[in-house]
Amino acid sequence: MEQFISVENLVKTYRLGKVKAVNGASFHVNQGEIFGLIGPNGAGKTTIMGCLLALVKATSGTVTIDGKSPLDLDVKRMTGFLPERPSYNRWMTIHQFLSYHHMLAEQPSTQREGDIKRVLSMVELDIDPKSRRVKELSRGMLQRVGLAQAFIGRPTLCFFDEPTSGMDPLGFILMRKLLKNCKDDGITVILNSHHLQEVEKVCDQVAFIRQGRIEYQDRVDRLSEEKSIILMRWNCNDDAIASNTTMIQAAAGRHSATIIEVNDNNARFTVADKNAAAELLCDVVASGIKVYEMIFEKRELVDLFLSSGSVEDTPSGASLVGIEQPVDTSHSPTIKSSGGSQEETHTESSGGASS
Amino acid sequence: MNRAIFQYSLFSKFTSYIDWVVLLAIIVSPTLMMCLVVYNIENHEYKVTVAKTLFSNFSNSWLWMLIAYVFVSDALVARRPVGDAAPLCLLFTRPIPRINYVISKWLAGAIGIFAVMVPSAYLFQIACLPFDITTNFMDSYMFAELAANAVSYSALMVFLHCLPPGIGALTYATMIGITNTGNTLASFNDKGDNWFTHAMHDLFVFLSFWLGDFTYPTIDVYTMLTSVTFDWHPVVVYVSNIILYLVLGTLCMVHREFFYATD
Repeated sequence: MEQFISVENLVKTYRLGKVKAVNGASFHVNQGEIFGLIGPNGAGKTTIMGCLLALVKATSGTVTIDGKSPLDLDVKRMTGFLPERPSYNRWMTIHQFLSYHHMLAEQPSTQREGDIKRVLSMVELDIDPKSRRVKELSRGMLQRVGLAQAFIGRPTLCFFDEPTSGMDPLGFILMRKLLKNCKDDGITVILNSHHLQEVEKVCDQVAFIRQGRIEYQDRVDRLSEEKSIILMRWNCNDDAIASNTTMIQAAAGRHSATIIEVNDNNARFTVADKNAAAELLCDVVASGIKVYEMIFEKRELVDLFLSSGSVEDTPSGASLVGIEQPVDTSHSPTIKSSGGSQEETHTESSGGASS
Repeated sequence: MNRAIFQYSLFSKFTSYIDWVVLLAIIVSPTLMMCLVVYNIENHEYKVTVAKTLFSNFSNSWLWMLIAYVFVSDALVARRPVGDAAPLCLLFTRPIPRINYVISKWLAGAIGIFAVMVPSAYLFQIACLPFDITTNFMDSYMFAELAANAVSYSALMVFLHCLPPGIGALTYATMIGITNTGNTLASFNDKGDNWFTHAMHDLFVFLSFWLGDFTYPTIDVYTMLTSVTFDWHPVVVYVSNIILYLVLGTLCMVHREFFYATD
């Protein structure tokens, strides 16, 4: 596939360089690809999107779209954009709002009515566009109007900033369908979302951003190949819980495995490959732990999100810094994640040690 | 010029009857004021003088700014003073050069002002008839002056509108403050008894002299065209002001960033 968007060493600073929102980000997006930008709050995702849309000026670095500057009017002609915060012309009716954007997108006036019907049916908004005003809509409906607005100019490049924000489950399904249609139509999509499972389902490539840097970028289907996750289970009585935990951490440290979570009778690790997994298993068994099961799990975005220490930015202040590092046996961090979402992640102390 | 922005600014955005009622109120207000004042005056000559003064104030009033604001910004239709960063961020993802935005707003503002002021002026003229005031206020000079001032006031408002939210109002308030302070100081001969008050006096007088034309961008077409020798000075000031407003407005738009969200 042809390289469509190219970002090289993008830097954006604020307050005379004191705040670095984007710090040397580089990535490429191929034509017709769905590209996911993920990362914690304040990572710089929206700033990168702003630079790609030429709404924010890069301090240094280059951004090209189809070989042109993002300021180029030809680039703008092919662009559709759904902002995170829908601050639309709220006093207008939906029809007036979409007509206005149809005109702004330089579409022929003869196609206006047809195009408005087309986009409203695309986003499954079954209301009278001529009587309902934008200000009367719920958050989810507003999001659908925003999507209709993004598609009104027949774009070949779409930017969606948190597209499922405020949407109900049907909205999630709709969004997945729209993204699939985009893929079928060869539309390139830049998707900024916190819904990692959705990103994983629809994106071809993802970039994980943290503190303005791209920490990881790869194809989604390669995620599971990069590093394997293993789940190990063992038999354990109450007296041995603390010592087993210590031994597991020590074994992980010896084989450069990263502990994702350790419980009383099971643990999840990331390991480099199958050999490393086998060596870790031998070591754990040799330590006297009665392992009865070890299975490989598919690596998911949420694991990448967690193992990159991103949850240190959670409002609760929970810190997972350092879990990518080999485990320090003098401490015993017990890190639990459930449900795969950032909000549900927490840390807790175990065996008298703290993380 | 962008047709969509022009059309939107001039009439598409006025979607409620309240918007039209407000515009109608602006059209009627100078006439109403004149009727209320003139009604209680017995002397006919004095009536004519008062009507002339009121019309003169009306044709050079701050009403221009208010009308320009209605057309250039979305404050009236949104029913609140609105920051424009979020709508503009969506707008500038469309194929619109920023200078086109400025020009479209300027022309929409100028035509909007003219479309409101002309009926307002004619209504004023008609309302004078029952008071037996037959002076022709709306001669060709006045017509030209309304058009010229609409163009310059619209340019000033577009420049202020292009500045980041809040900065525009602050900038204009500062300009007015300096101009008026300078004008007041200029009327005093006593500059004080130390070098500081002397310097401040001269500084404000200089600034008011320099900023005065910039703050009130009107042109007196009648005086200019009926004087014995044609004075180019007000024409140069008038034209250069308009160009300066539009250039500054475009520069603001080009340099502004539209940060639509915070992570």
